[in-house]
Amino acid sequence: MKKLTSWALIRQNLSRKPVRTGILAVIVFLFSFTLYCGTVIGQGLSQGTRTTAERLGADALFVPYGYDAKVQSSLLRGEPSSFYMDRRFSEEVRQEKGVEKVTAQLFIATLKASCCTLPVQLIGIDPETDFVVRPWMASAIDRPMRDDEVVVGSKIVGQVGDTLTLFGKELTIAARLEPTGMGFDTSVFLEIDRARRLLLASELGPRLNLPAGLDRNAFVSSTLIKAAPATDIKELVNRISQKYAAAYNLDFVVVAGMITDMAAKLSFFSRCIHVFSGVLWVLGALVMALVFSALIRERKKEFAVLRIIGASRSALGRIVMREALLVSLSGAFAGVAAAMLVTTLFNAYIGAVLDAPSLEPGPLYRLAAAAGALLLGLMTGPLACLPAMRKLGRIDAYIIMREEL
Amino acid sequence: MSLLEAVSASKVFQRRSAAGHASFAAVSDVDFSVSEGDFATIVGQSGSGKTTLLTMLAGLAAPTRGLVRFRGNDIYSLTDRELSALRNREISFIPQDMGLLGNLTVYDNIRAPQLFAGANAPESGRADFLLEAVGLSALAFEYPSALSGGEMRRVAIARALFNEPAVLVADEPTSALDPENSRMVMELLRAANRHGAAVIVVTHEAEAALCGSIRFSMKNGKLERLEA
Ligand SMILES: Nc1ncnc2c1ncn2[C@@H]1O[C@H](COP(=O)(O)OP(=O)(O)OP(=O)(O)O)[C@@H](O)[C@H]1O
Ligand SMILES: [Mg+2]
Repeated sequence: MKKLTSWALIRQNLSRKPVRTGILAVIVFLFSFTLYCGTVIGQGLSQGTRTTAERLGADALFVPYGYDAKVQSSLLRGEPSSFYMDRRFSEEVRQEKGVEKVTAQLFIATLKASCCTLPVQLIGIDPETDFVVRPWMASAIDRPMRDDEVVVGSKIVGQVGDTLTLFGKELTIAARLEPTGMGFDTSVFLEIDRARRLLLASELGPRLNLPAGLDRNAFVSSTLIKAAPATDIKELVNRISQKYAAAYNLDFVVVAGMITDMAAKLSFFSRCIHVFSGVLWVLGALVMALVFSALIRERKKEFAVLRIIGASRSALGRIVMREALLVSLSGAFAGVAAAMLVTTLFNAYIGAVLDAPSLEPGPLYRLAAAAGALLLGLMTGPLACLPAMRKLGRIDAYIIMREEL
Repeated sequence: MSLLEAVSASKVFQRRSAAGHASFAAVSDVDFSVSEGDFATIVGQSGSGKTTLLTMLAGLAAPTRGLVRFRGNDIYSLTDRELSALRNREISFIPQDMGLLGNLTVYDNIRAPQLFAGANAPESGRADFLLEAVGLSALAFEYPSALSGGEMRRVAIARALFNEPAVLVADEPTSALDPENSRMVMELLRAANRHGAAVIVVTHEAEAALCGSIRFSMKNGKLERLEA
């Protein structure tokens, strides 16, 4: 038979006390789990906010009266919607002082795209004036979009060159967008006139309930405005609203305000998460230290026996540290694995619940977070052991044992 | 030449008293010595300092004053590693409460000294031999919690003998045992002595004490040699 090794002793110590081992592992599990979740969710949220704020290049959005809430959910969460206004507004407002860029978009709700099981938002854009979608496309396509082409959001299935059937027409995917954390991720973009023709020709066409007086060949859903630098956006929007609201039955959304509201909500929430996981970290480390020192006190006699049969302080320390490390290892691995699963599964769900765009951080960030959570989890056990072991080391081996009797 | 000796060894504890802390000498100024082949017995009342003396002799507690020498070397001037190696190979201690490792089987308890003996530890086969010698082969794969008091003592003795130590130090190995088991334990210690180990035994029992080749009595921390 082979000689008895300290690994065999450690294995026995752990497996003969399953409850004790289990409790320690669960503490480390929770610890790593929260650490990973906190970091990744927090990062995802702040990344989502940043992307929305940076990438929606418009300062204000005009929609038909009563649809301001609808456009927010459509833009941020990708909920399909359909509402219509006159295209001429975008021509007229272009003349206003303080307006730098204007473009119109047409939203068409469709559930029938061949690509997806999720509801898809079809968005017609004007390639000539567009300044909202283009920045994402620029990296993907460097020429104007042809009218039988579409650009798809990052969550739409399909490669560049594949075809997509919309309202019975086959369209080619010309480009994909980078993830935006907004409704754009589940949108399909096509040329605005083509989009309108598709809509009218489809079975939705005859049933289309356009507001009275709206030209069937010149309606859009929203008009986006970018203000000239150093313009007071509130003032500009008020001026435009007063002048055109009656004629065009307008409602407006100041994007900056919308983003700020959301950013405030998000940053508060992600700060909460960070504080929460910080508190949990400290609490976890404290609990671990307490549990381990209690355990070591409880096991004094066992350690004294090891000293009696010839364990040096360092040999004993190695055994205790390895035990703590093994327990931490299993807890930390399980914790990080579970956290990765949970954050991936619920990423979209979390975004929906928080009423905010949600982005899972990139694989590199997640890997770093996983490595960090794993490392901190691994360290907790051995670190928590240190003070108690150090105290034990200062006392005569036999006195340690006596104190227990 | 003496194998293991204490030279004017004292152990002073701080005791809590009404007036704060007071010094208390559990062992005071003890001279003690065993040579190869000796079988020493120590008797004494409870609290007289027997266990304290044994732990000093066994390399587990440094004397407050005085020396403990093994083969002429002051063992408490050694490093912790060296002293631990000495406990592992040369001076085996059997504590008053037996001190078995609850997570290991009887078999693994007996060969546990392998853990700290490095490459020159005896092979595991020695555990089989010792199990046989203490008559516990049938219990090899039981855990200590399933053993009787007498069986535990025998396992503790087998473990103490695993690395063939020069000195065996046993603290009341027969306490709380029936006469039959007491005799069996004392016989094991005598056998170890015949095989070359010097033995130091603390005991309450007059009969057991009589089997010593040198006998001591302890009283209030003082050790006194009894005439044969
Ligand atoms: N760590 C300690 N701190 C304070 N006093 C101690 C300590 N260890 C032992 N003593 C005291 O030293 C005295 C001797 O104790 P010791 O255990 O050596 O007695 P003993 O002769 O072995 O007794 P018994 O036969 O009951 O085992 C006792 O009065 C005890 O209270
Ligand atoms: Mg005693």
